[in-house]
Parts: sequence; C-alpha cells; structure tokens
Amino acid sequence: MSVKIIPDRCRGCGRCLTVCPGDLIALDSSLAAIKEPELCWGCAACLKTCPYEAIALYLSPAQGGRGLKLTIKKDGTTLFWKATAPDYQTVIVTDSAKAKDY
Amino acid sequence: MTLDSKAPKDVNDAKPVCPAPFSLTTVTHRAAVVVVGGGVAGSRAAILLAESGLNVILLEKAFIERSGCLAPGVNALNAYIGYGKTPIDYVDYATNDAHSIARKDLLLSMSKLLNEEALWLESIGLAIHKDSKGRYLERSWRNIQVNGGDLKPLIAKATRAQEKILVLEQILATHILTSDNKALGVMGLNLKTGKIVEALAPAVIIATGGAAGLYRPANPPESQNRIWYSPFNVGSGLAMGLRAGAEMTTLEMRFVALRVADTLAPTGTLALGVGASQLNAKNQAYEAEFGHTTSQRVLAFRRQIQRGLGPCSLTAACDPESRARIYRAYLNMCPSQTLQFLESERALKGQIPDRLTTEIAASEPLVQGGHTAGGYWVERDRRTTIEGLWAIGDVAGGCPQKYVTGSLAEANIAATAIAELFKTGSLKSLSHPEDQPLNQELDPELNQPLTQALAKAHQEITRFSQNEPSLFTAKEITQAARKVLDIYAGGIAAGYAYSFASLTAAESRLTALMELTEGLKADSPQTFAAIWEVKDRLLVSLALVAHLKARKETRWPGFGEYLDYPVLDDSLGFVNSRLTPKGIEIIHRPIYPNGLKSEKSL
Ligand SMILES: Cc1cc2nc3c(=O)[nH]c(=O)nc-3n(C[C@H](O)[C@H](O)[C@H](O)COP(=O)(O)OP(=O)(O)OC[C@H]3O[C@@H](n4cnc5c(N)ncnc54)[C@H](O)[C@@H]3O)c2cc1C
Ligand code: SF4
Ligand code: SF4
Repeated sequence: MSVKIIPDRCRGCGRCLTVCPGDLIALDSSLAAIKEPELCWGCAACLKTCPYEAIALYLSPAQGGRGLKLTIKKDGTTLFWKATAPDYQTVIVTDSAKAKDY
Repeated sequence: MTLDSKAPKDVNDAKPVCPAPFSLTTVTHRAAVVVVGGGVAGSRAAILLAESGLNVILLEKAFIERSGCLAPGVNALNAYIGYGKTPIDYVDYATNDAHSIARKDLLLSMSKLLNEEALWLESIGLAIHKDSKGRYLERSWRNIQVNGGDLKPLIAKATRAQEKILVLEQILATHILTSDNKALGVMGLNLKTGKIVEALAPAVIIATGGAAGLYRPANPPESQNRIWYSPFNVGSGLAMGLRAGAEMTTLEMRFVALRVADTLAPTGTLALGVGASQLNAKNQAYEAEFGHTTSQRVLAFRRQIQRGLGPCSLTAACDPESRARIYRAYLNMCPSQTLQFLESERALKGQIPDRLTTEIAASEPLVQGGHTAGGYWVERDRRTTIEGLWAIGDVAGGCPQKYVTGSLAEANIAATAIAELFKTGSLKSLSHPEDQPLNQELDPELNQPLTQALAKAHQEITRFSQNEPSLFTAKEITQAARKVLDIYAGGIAAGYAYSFASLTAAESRLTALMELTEGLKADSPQTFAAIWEVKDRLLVSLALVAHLKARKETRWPGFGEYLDYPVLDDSLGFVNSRLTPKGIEIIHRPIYPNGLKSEKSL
C-alpha cells in the first residue's frame, strides 16, 4: 500500500492508467482504482501524471509512515510537491527543465 | 491464425466446460528486429536501429512512458568518465569492485561509450548540471549530477518519434522462439485483449532488466513491492533465455544493496551529495573496515549489526540549503525518501536539526547485471550463445557497474552490430520481405521450424486455461518461493549465509513449487501473467541456487557467505549455466575467455 486515489478529485480522465510501470491502475465506475495495492512500488509516476492532484503517496506503517501525504500540482515542467497532514504542510518545487534548480 | 479453445470431449459431459479464458486469436507482426523490454536499454537500441533504417518491434509489458527502473527518475548518471580519467580507469574500478569476476573486454567496450551516451541524453532534453566553465558537474570522477525526474518520458518521446518503431505495450513476452539454437522471434500475451502476439524477426534483443522479488523482501506483504529495484522486472528475460537454451553467467554474484532503512532509497545521494558517512550506534565510523568495494562495505555494515553495534545511520552536517537540495534530489529518484525526511521533520514540530541523519539497512539479494554481473553470457557485441539473440542492460552479465549510461552504451554496441549484419546481408528477414507494412495481421505460410516453435509456445500458454480451478494461487506460490530462498539460499533471515545442505533443500523445495505451478488455472490475461511470472521467478531461482552451489568459495562476503567454503578459490573462473533436459548444467569458464589470453589482448 503506497498510493490512494482521492475520489472527490479524480475525474476519471484515465491518464494515470498509461504510466504505471506495473500496469496496476484501472477505471472502476469511472474513477481510477489501484488493482492490487500491495504491488505498488511507490514510484509516483501516476502522481506526476494526474492533472487534478487526485493521487496521494504515503508511507506504510512498516516504513515509519504517520499519515503524511504527498500530492503533486503540475504546471508545465514545474512540479509543486505538497506534503500535508492535519498538523503539517509544506511545498517543495522541482523543475525538470532547470539543471541549476536542483 | 486462430486457436480454438479446447472443446469438451463429450458435449453431454455433466462437468462444467472450462470457459475460454481469454481470446485465443493471434496477431502476427514482422520486422527486422524485435526488442523485448522498453526500458532504458531496449528503447535506445530500438531508436538506433530505426535510425539505421530497420523496422523494429518494441515489446513492453507496461507503458514505455514510465516503465522499468527509471519510473521514479534518476538524479545522477552513475557511470561516466570524469576529467583526467580514461575508460581503462573505469574497467579497473569495476573489475576490482567485482573482486575480479568481470569481463574486461565487455567493460572496456562499454566504458568507451559512456560519455557519448550522456551527451545523447542531454540532446533529448535531460537537464545536466554544469560548472562555471560549462562542464558537467561531477559528484565523483565517475558520476555526474542530473535533473532526471522525467528522464524516462524523454526517452519515450524520442522512441515514439521514430516511425520505424512499432511500440506494442501491455505485452508480456513469454517465449524466445528458436529452432536449432537460432532465434526466430518472440511470443507474448497482450494483457489487455488476451490475444497472443507473435513478433517475428531474424534478430532479437532482450532488454528486460534484472530479477527482483526472488527473495523475501524487507517490508511486509502489504508493502512487499516497496523495494529498491523495480519490482516489475521479475527476471523473465533470464527465464526466457534459459528455456531457449542460452548460457548465463555469474548469477551467484547477487546484489545486496545498502539502502536507507524502510524506504530502500539509494544512499549515494547522501554520501556523494552532502558527504554523509556511516556511523554505528556508538557513533563510530566503520565503512572501510574491510575495504572499499561494494561487497566489502555491505559486509562492514552487517558486521556492526552482528556485533550488537546497530542500528547504523548515514549522517552529515547539513545546512538548510543542502537539505532542500537533497529533498529535491530524492523527489527526482525516490520520492518516498523525501516523505520520510518530512515525516521526521513533522515529528520534531519544525525544530530542524543541523544534521541530516537516516538509518540504513541491507536489502534482500537480487540478480542483475547492472550493478553486479549476473545475466546472459555475451560476446563483445552483446550477442548471446543463441544465434540472432542479443542481450543488453541489466539482463546481460559479465559487465557490472552499468547504470543508465552503461545500459545505453550496450544498446549502442548491439544496435551497431545488428545494423552492420543487415548491411552486409548476413542477416535477412524471414520468408517475407522486410518491407512488409508494419502492424498488419498476417497469416502467411510459415516455414516449418517456425511453425513448430510457434505451436509449442502456443501450447505452453494456453494449457493453463485448460486446468481445473486450483487450490493454490500464483501469489501463494510466489510467497512460498521467497520464503525458501530467504531461509535456505542466504536471504535476510539467514544472514545472507548458506551451505551445500541448505542449497540442496532450496532446490528440492523450489522444484516442488514449480510442479505446483503446473496445476494453476488461468482464467484471464492477468491470472495467466501471474502464473507465468511465478514460473519465471522459480526457474531463475533454481538457476541461481545451482550457481551458488557451484561457486565453492566466498568471494563477495558482503553479498553472501558459503559456510562450507569460506575461502577464495581462484581456479573457479566464471560460473556459467545452461538449462538442459536434465536440469541446470554448470559450466566453468576461464577469466579470460574467447581467446583473450590476458589483459593485453583487450
Ligand atoms: C530506484 C533506482 C534508482 C536508480 N538510480 C540511478 C541513477 O540515479 N543513475 C543511474 O545511472 N542509474 C540508476 N539506476 C540504474 C538504472 O535505472 C538501470 O541500470 C537501468 O534502468 C537498466 O536499464 P534496463 O533497460 O536494463 O532495465 P529497465 O530500464 O528496468 O527496463 C526493463 C524493461 O523491460 C520491461 N519488461 C520486463 N519483463 C518484460 C516482459 N516479460 N515482457 C515485456 N517487457 C518486459 C520492463 O517493463 C521495463 O520497461 C537506478 C535504478 C533504480 C532501481
Ligand atoms: S506509485 Fe507507481 S507503481 Fe504505484 S500505482 Fe502509481 S505508478 Fe503504479
Ligand atoms: S489521472 Fe487523476 S483524474 Fe485522471 S483518472 Fe487518474 S487519478 Fe483520476
């Protein structure tokens, strides 16, 4: 278990279906669904593709996860990685076009 | 060509008829070259072949946008020849790191192309960090920083731009079709439509990556795939090759990775990025206790744990700017690691320490030819022991420390050799001319060896649909096989140690599990894929155990300890194998094979 689809945000556009390296995502009643969650690698390819911030990555309890969720808002090559929990919020920006902005 | 699902013998039979599991129609494609695996190596080979004018079929089980090890991205090119260094330096480094079990001829041909392939990556849009003089910024003499979170989509874009490449996705390749030790093409199953796919060509390249998920992983079943390597590379290229009779090498040089605990994130980002060093629970540095090779460093870590000096950490002084840079670097390669850092910041309620520290752990062993040297036994041009079959990237053996640029270099070497063979007329298409339009469903008269190979492969795929519903599932057998290797073949539970007796136990248990797979029932393309992949894993596991048995020494003590043979035996050379009707046959090859008498003849 590594990622969750956020049902209120998913619009069933199907983009995430065609980037998962394990082909783990399908549409279920026109919403994205992870077919076998225990097989998720946690690579975040689906997060990077979703235009609607509808997928969250988190760490399992065995990995020291305490509920912090990572989602991505995209603007061209710029990614805004948002980590959120009720008591915590931060945003990290990466841009794959800018080498200096490492 | 259509295969009917098996009709019941007697229509009045009261037993329910086994329903047709998935569509049994077949689609046939032809080209000059079939490439299996649209990862780093396979995509690059396809591009170069297309550029030389050849029609290529690229088979990928997922989607090339993000498939393979590069799905999360990369933040460095780990194989590069830095200023003032030469390819020979890289050969020496990699040979030394492999404790001499490496092919210097393969390493040299790869090393010569590393920097050229870095340039190619920049040309397709990879942002590479440069210094004030405009030179690539080196993290070490063989490693440069890149902003590669989206590198795989860039490679996919370059692949799709080639009109001569037919990209077929969601195809699980299952068979290398051969006759008389000659490759004729590849068979697979379309996981979406359930159609059998035949991709026929006189040249085949295998680029399916290494084998993960053989051993029980560090994380529990609910997060079993939170491992370091791509869990979707299950070793099927190795299994296909074994079934086709190809020779494999050095599978016993398992890679045990020293990684961040829990996330299994690579540690180089911290070690090279902010100069982090390893400390045991008493704050003592121990890294160099046994030496500097990868195996020796893993050993030093494991010894701390055995002596009660764990847990160990990777720690560096870190100003806020460097911390932010490390967070971004991990987002580009293993986002979970940044999440782990943020979880600890959150726990500290904003009190961010001036040291960056994280626990480290050793991974479960895996088989691959990218860091270590397990894979196909190849010639300098990456041809395998099967005529018309090449192997590149993490599936090819004998040439460790490849990483992204080395995988690209091998693609370059193989593609150049194949293009040359077509140019000189040594390779020609099968019975149909190569200028057949692509993507056409053909049903030509096939020549006899091909018909036989196809029929055999068809039968091997469809037989699982004819089974009665089975008591066990492929998942259960996968977990059982992982338990066997973990305990009897030197997994985490066994402290990476094994003996002749424990390996013999592993062999018999794996063989029993392989027999169980024959009764599994496929009722959809997905259940078939699960069955086929556990069979692939079991076959690679059996070959691995035979290799471990045959290397009667402890050469890489960090990666594994053969309790019956704790000392080195330099007479062993390479341990190679081949699948024969009698089982896995072991072949010993000298360190300088193929007439390479010594280093001078490189
Ligand atoms: C987490 C991680 C981080 C890394 N970071 C770096 C780094 O920063 N720098 C660096 O230089 N290297 C890095 N590497 C190493 C680098 O990614 C690999 O060396 C490289 O990807 C190997 O290329 P490949 O083509 O052999 O395998 P892959 O790129 O993994 O490609 C294999 C392909 O084969 C497909 N496939 C497998 N089986 C089948 C089948 N039966 N049918 C059809 N298709 C199949 C897979 O889906 C996949 O697309 C990293 C590796 C990992 C795992
Ligand atoms: S995180 Fe990666 S493996 Fe998991 S569902 Fe998303 S794309 Fe697939
Ligand atoms: S990409 Fe996002 S919105 Fe589209 S189907 Fe996937 S989760 Fe839903």
